[in-house]
Amino acid sequence: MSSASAVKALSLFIELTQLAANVGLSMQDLVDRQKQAEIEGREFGAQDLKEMRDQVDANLDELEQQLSE
Amino acid sequence: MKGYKTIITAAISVIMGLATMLGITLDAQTMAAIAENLEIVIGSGMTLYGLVMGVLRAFTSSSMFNGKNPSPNTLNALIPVFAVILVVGLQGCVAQPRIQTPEDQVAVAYATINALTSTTQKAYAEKRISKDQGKKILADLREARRDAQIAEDLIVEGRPEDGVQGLLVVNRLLLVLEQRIKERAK
Repeated sequence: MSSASAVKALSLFIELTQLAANVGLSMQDLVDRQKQAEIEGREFGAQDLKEMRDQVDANLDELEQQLSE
Repeated sequence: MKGYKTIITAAISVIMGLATMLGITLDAQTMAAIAENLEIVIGSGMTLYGLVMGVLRAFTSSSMFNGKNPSPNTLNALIPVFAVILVVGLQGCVAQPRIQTPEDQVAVAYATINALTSTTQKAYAEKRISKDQGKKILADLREARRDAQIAEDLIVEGRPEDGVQGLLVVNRLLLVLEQRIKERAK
C-alpha cells in the first residue's frame, strides 16, 4: 500500500468516525428527550417531534446558507 | 483499567493529531463522548477484531494474518480493518433510543437527518466535499425531512400503520450515506 493510499484510508476512517460520533450525539439527544417525557409523566409525542423537526429545519437552513456563501 | 484507558486515549489522540495534519478535526464534545465511553469502544472493538482475525486466519494462508512472518506492509494493509473496528466500536457507545411507537421511529429519522447534516457541514467547512456534492446531499436530506413529516402527519391523523412508511426515510438516508462514502473513497 502506498503512502497516498494510507492517507486516503486514514481520511476515510476519520470521515466514518466523525459520522458515527455525530449519530451518537443525535441519538443521545433523542434518548434525553424520551427520558424527559418519562420524568414528566407523559408520552413522547407530537410536541417532541415538532421540536425535533424545528431543529432539523434550522440545521438544514444553516447548511444551505453555508453552501450558498 | 485506568492506565489502560490512558494509553488508549493517547493512541486516539495520536490518530486525531494525524487527522488534524490532514485538515480534519473532531470537536471537543465529540472527543469527550468517545473518552467517556472507552470501555464500550474497546470492548466492541476487541470483539470485532477477534472475529475478523479469526475468519482471516481460517480462510487465508497469507502470512499477513498468521503472525509468523508479518510483512512491512502489514500495518498499512490493516488500516482499513482498524478503521472498521473503531467505527463499529464507536457504534457501541451510541445511545440506543427506545423505538416502540411510530412516533419513536419518526424521531429516529429526524435524529439521523441531524447527524448527517452536521457531518456534511463539517465536511464542507473542511473542504472534504465540493459545493456540488454538498448541494446534492442537502437535496436528499430535505427530501428525507419531507418524508418524515408525511409519516408524522399520518400518525397524527390516526393512521400509524401508514406512518410506518417512515421506513422509506431511513432507506433514503442510508443511500445518502452510501453515496457520501463512495465519493470520499474515489
